[in-house]
Amino acid sequence: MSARLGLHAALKHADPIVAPTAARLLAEIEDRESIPALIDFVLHSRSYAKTAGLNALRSLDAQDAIPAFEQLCADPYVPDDFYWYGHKGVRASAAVHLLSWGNTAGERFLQELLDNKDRVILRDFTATILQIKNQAAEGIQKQLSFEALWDEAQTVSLQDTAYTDASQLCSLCEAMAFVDDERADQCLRYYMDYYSRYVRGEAYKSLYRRHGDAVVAEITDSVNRHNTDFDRVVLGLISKDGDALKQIAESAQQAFDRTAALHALAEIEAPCDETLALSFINKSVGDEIYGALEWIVQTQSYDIALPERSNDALYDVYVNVLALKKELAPC
Amino acid sequence: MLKLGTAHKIISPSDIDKILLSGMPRRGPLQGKLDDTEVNVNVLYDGNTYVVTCVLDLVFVYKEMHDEIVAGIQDQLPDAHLILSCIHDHSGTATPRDGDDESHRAAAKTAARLVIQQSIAAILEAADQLSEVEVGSTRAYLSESLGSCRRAKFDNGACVTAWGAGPIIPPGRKWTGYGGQNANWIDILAFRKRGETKACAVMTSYGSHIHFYEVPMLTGEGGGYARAKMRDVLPQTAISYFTAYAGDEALLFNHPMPEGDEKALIQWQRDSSEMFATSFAECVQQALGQIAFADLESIAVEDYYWEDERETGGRKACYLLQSVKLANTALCAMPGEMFLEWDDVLRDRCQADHVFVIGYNISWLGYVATPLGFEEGSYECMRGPADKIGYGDNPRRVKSGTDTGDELISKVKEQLSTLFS
Repeated sequence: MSARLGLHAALKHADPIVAPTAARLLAEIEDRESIPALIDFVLHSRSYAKTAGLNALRSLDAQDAIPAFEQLCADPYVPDDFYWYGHKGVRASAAVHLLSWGNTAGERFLQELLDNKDRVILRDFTATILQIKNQAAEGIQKQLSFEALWDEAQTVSLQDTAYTDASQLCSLCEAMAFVDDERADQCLRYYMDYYSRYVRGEAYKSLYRRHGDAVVAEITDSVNRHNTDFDRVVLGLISKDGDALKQIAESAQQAFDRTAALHALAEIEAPCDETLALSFINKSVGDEIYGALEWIVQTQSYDIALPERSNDALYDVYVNVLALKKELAPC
Repeated sequence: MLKLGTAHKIISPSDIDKILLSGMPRRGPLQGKLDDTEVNVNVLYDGNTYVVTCVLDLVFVYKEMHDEIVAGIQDQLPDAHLILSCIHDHSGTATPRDGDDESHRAAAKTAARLVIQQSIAAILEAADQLSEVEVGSTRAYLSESLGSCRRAKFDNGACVTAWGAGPIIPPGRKWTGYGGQNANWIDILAFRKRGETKACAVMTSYGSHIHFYEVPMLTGEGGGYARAKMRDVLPQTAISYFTAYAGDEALLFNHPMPEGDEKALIQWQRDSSEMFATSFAECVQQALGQIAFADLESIAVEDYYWEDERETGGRKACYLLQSVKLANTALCAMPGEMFLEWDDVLRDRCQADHVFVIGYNISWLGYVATPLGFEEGSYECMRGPADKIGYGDNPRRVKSGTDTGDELISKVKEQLSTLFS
């Protein structure tokens, strides 16, 4: 089976992480020939995580997929988890991406979510909507003011909703990077001292996005004060410090901190350290394996000989992506 | 010499068209019954002390149920230590379908009464059949995961529950793995009559939510099927299935729900349950051969109960920790919605050779995440931690603090230290 067909098969894999990872990586290597397979994935998968396929198609600017997005905006073709966010989340994802193309087919649904102060839009899509640069999005964008976000965060935490959830606060901090209001800085500085290191991490990134190098010293001070490996991973990412990230990847106690350091090395495209990457890939289990593969893929390190690994569909995704990327690379 | 008696009885409610059971798909009326639900009882007696395990196919059990059952057995089993628990079956705990309809209210009341009556009847029946037994225990490892961590982790460290509670991947995000380990083991506590070669009673403890709950019908879910399958492969053996930690684990990913109508949904529920039950029973059956049984002269018990002074919705935050020393094995009853990661903490430097956890006792705490779990977020801790065990800023919902798990496990370890030192 060719690498591309292997990746298309992965889009049908039952594991909730395998298919979205394949979709994301197909977009990252800009494999436009996979657009029909991605359309098939988003139309026919019953997994909520197929939003990764919508993200991939938008990232590829696959305008052929617009009818599929419109269809999913009306009927997401996933189980109706009426009490939760998955069903609405897939619809909202399609609607937001359509809006970014200037298509307002999903605007009414997004407005309904906003009118209902639905956490679906507030937790997952605010940052994306605020980054859209077209007239079609302006009506929705205007409603995502600092007050709207902050008031929501303050009021609903007193009820039984999710704004005290660290995961949602990460989204709030991410969105604050794009809010045109000086008070967003104050909000981010508040969350730079939050008890959750992951919320702090998003606050660091957003403050940096707003002010660049001018706030690195302030972020460094906060990182040193909290003194966790994860805080340091985010600082390494912001300051593009590959050596610091490699050191954390080697020495961090928590598996996720090692994994996050590897993903950060991939994101800043630090030259891949073959010995270090393989030291993780040769492990029997652990998310670091895939963090190291991410690093290899993002840095196009085709010369690294990957070991055989059986019955690991996620590993196969990376192997196939690397092979396909090499195939697609200009000679 | 330790004596054991066992019994089980049916607790399936009648008039199921008049009641609602817990679990979201069952907020509508039940459309029938796939399986009966049960109470399973083990009565242990060393000549002085009775320890009774009573596990129900319900979603939760409450202190008032505990007190009522204790009162019902007090004359025959004075001062018995009752460990009341449930498997977290979402077929459990009935409410009237229409609260304004007297017949619906009566049906719910009858269903609740039946649970208590059958529990008392089963305990008394078991206590009438006590036989001398040896005890043994082991931990069996599954060849592949059945229950798996249901929290997916984003690259920014935040977690989301990878089922209906927000499992979409927003633009710009990727999943980097799961938020915890999978439930790869089953703890087994077995009893054998003296002079016999096979176990007469087996208790299993598994750390995962058991639901395949999408079917709007009365069913024993995964736990009920596992118990039935163990009865098939271990005839003449009394079987009790217990759910241990299940905060962040569920039977979801190995058995994705298919397309189709209600008939297809029922078939999927049966197939999934069969798949789970077969692997589970095979693992238990194989492990039983490895167990070394030993005599036991006496049972020792430590209990600790705490409840909040405040009350909300008729229920107080509370927890009950019950530890029992059975030879070299500790039997620990505690809340059920704890994250699986707490198991490593409990067993760290534990004096007992084996620990058998019974979750979902009468404790009322909500999910008990690890401190890092609260930092990550997800449905299980989406309302954030309380300042301490109690209600936090939400008077309607009991929730744990970031230190709740540590506090609970420390107290259990104190109990074990007292029992095993």
